[in-house]
Amino acid sequence: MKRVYRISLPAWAVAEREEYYAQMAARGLFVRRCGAFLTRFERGDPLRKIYRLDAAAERGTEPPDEQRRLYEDGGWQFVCKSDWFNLYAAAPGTTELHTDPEWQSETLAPVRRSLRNDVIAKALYAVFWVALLFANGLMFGRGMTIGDTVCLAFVQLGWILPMLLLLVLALVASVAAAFAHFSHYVRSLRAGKRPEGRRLRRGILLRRAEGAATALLTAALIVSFLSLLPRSAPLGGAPGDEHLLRLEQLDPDVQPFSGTGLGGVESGAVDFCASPLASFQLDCTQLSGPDGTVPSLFQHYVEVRVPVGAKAAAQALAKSSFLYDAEPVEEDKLPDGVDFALVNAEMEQTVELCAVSGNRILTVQYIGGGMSAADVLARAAEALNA
Amino acid sequence: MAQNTPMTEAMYYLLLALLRPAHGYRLMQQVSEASGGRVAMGAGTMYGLLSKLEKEGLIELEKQDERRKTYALTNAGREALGAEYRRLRALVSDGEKMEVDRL
Repeated sequence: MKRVYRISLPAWAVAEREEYYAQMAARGLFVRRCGAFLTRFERGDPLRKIYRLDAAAERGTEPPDEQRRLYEDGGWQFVCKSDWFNLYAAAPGTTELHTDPEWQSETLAPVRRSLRNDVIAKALYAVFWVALLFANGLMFGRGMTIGDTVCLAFVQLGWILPMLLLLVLALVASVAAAFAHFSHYVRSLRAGKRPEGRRLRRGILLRRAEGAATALLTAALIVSFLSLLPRSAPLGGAPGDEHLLRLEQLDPDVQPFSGTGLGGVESGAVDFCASPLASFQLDCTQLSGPDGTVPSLFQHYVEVRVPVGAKAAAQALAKSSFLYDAEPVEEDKLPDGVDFALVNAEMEQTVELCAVSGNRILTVQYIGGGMSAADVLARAAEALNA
Repeated sequence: MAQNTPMTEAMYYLLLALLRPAHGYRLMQQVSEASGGRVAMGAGTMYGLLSKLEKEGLIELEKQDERRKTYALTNAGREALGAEYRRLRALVSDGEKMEVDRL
């Protein structure tokens, strides 16, 4: 017997499925197995049949022998189990499986409850995910706005963020629509009428569109994850151990230590953001002496690859880091090639700043040297535009 | 429980059919006979009602062979059926007093 597979209609679309199986039988395709994603049909001679879905005693279980026999006596053959339901088929003219729609609606109460619980669980799941994605910014009491929070999450997670949000929202919308559709079906039964699968065509199209959208979103999510793989950190700092700004470039008087160990150039990470999600770190360290004596330079270079704008990203990053108090540099004082800069208020022998050029952000912490903030900013501008 | 509330038509006819103990399929036929063919009870409705009425103590399993279960009314079931019959009769009688049959 030749097998044919078709995308399954949703388990809860009772009237539509019953109509669908009848139409397929009339075309010589007889349903044999109802999977969550695919339905298996077997080819035979076209036959007019009617199908009914009956609530199972427990989800995913087949009917007991006694029930099966009684249904057979009444002309209904068990076809297969299908999630919350069992599917039966009969010849046209057979007495309906359920002659009391009101009573039938009672048998569907557990299915409706299960769908409702699903909606609640998915909604809580969505809230949890959204909270987790934005926890980064919410944890700080440093004047982070919602915009900053969204921006920071965007900067850290790239396209994964909107993809995850869309996927979670699609999930919630899908179960909510399922609940609404099924509730309407149960209400119709309570009112004493058996709904027909009149919206079958629309149901099939919607199911296909839903499947395509889910596949597309999942693919986009995978691509988003893969796009992060080559980076050492989600923010995509300078490749390898390279650093954008060198200590000797910043301070010509300094004699940087060229060996390894405490001094020299390190690529070790120093926490920059104190949030659990942030992997944004001052990961390029250069000390001037073997004992780690001053002056020293920490920096982090970032290319913002998501459409939040480097300026907005720099502001959000600053608010979640030691630069949370930093002031923007007036436009007329910005060196050439720098679009925006934030500098911490004058600190003794320490300069902390963040400079933005195009989609690039350079964050610098310079400790113990004699350079002014303006000089460090000018060197940072040169490094960014080199 | 349901004894104090009006029964559905299906429940009333099923209890009526069970005045003679029978198995599910036979009960479907008895319901049809008892109602003069007006009420046809589907297998799904029958199975659900049998489970519900057994749980509520209105019917009980009289015997079970390999293929079928035979049900019978319990005393509570007889009382419930009698009460419903009297209620329905009172409704009809009240209608007759108001000459509803002339409408």
